[in-house]
Amino acid sequence: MKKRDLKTYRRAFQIFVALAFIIIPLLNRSRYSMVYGNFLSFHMFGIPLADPLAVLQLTIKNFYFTLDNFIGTLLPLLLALCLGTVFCSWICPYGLLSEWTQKLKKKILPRSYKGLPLVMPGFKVKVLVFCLGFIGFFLLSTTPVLNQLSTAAWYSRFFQYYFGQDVISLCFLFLLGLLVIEFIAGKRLWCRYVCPQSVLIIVTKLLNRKRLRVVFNAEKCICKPGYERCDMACTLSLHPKTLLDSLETECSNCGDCVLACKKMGSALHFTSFIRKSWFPAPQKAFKAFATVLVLTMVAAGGYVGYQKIDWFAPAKPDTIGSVVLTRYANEVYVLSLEVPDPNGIIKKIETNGKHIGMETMLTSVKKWINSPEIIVSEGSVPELPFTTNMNVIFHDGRTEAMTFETDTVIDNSSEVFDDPWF
Amino acid sequence: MWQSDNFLRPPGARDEKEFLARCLQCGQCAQVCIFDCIKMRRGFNVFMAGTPEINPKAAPCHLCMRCSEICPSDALHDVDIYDVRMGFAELDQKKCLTWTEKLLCRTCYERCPIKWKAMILEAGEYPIITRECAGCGLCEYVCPVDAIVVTPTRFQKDREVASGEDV
Repeated sequence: MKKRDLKTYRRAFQIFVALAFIIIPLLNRSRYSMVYGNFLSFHMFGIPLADPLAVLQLTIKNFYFTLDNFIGTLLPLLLALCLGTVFCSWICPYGLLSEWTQKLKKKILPRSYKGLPLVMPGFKVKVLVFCLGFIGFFLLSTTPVLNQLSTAAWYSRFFQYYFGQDVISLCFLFLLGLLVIEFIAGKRLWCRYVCPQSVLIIVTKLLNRKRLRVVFNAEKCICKPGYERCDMACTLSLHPKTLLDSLETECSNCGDCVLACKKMGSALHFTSFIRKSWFPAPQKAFKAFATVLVLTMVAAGGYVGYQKIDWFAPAKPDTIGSVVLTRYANEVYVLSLEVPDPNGIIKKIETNGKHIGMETMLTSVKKWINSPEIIVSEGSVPELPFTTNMNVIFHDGRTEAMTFETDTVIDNSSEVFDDPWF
Repeated sequence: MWQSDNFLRPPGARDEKEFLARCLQCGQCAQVCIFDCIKMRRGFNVFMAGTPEINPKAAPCHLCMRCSEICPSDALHDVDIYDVRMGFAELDQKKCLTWTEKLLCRTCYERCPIKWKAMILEAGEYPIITRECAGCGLCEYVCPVDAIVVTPTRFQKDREVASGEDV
């Protein structure tokens, strides 16, 4: 088995996020709404998260922002301030797709194929695109149009469209086109030269001089010039050995070059303001205890979640209802039928019986909790116990007969019955 | 891929220009809607794509107000159910079964979420839509003869001017 290193964890987390944004619309579809949103704005168990650029656009145009948005932007910006642009290398699903495209290109195309030669420093182009976009946004519209350039948002939006409203959005052509262009160019063009969403987090990262970054120790380097392992490993095709300020702004701290260099002399390493002495090596017993605790929590959470989610919601008829006989003033006896139907599978409910000449028919009942009320008796006490027969007719054509026995009367004679039907 | 321009915005939406300025296009309102009536708008219009819409003919709003509760950027603000103005429903009395005295039909009245305010029965029989109408489109959805049409709020100025000229 391959040794688990930083890259394994990184890839696993990337895949986890990418899968999560496929599963979340599916969960929402089965009425699980603790987690919802896409890469522009996201809510997770009440914790808001938001795209800083989207919020900036709103704030500039409205001179107003909501608390929700403010808290939502804090976390991504804080992450960028401490750890650099790890969003790009650890979270962004487009980054994952793009990295896989580069991997595929390396496997399929011959080594001699170099792709586009890139001389411009990426950050300058990115800022130019960002400024042009912002000027366009100011002149043209009041809507946050730069959101439409967010590839991560389009990725999550595709699944929102697909699972939420059964539409295959054409945005996948946009993503596919970008990936094909990057495949031919052999470089991650969008991430390095265009992506306006990353500009804000890069600027935030530059504010902190002691952030996590990759440094090079020239004395330890043993690679032959032109055959650097770190150059081959770098996911953004930067040159980790010569990370000058202009290139360092682009580095997303993925750590691949550090891993590659470990085998060749450990000339590259991360700096960090976090000291190792803050985190003493954990005892074995503590480790085992923590593992058990985490596993139990995950299992419990999964079980609770499983209980909450109605996987086969539309197929399961839930016709257990209730019948309540209430006595109102003036000796009016009213029977309330309640048949819960949260999924809209009931077409209509028919009652017939010994009640005073009224037949209830609810047509085209859709996702509605039916509670028709029937006046059973006016002026005299109905004979107890009596039975109510109901026919529940489902949209798929089935009919289910239900019978309820009523033997108690709820006294509500302080109120006059206000007939909602007449 | 064709979609109607005559869509409604979810309840609590600010007026169209301000709504578009605030909407983050995150689709959270569509994801929490338990009635599946809020859809994210499709198409190539970069100003509109991803914003929420409601087509009452396909699925009407039930005014449960979940969407305006969770909207992170306050494009849908949290208003009382009686203050919602998504649109205005108009009843064509020449088509309505009750008004044409073909049948005693109270489908729209029974479904109205704010009945006795937004919809009243004249003489106990004939449905009338008042100015209190929230424009949720439930009546348009249930009407068996398509006598009710909801006009979105953003088109209402034109409508009022037009009807004013008629008078």
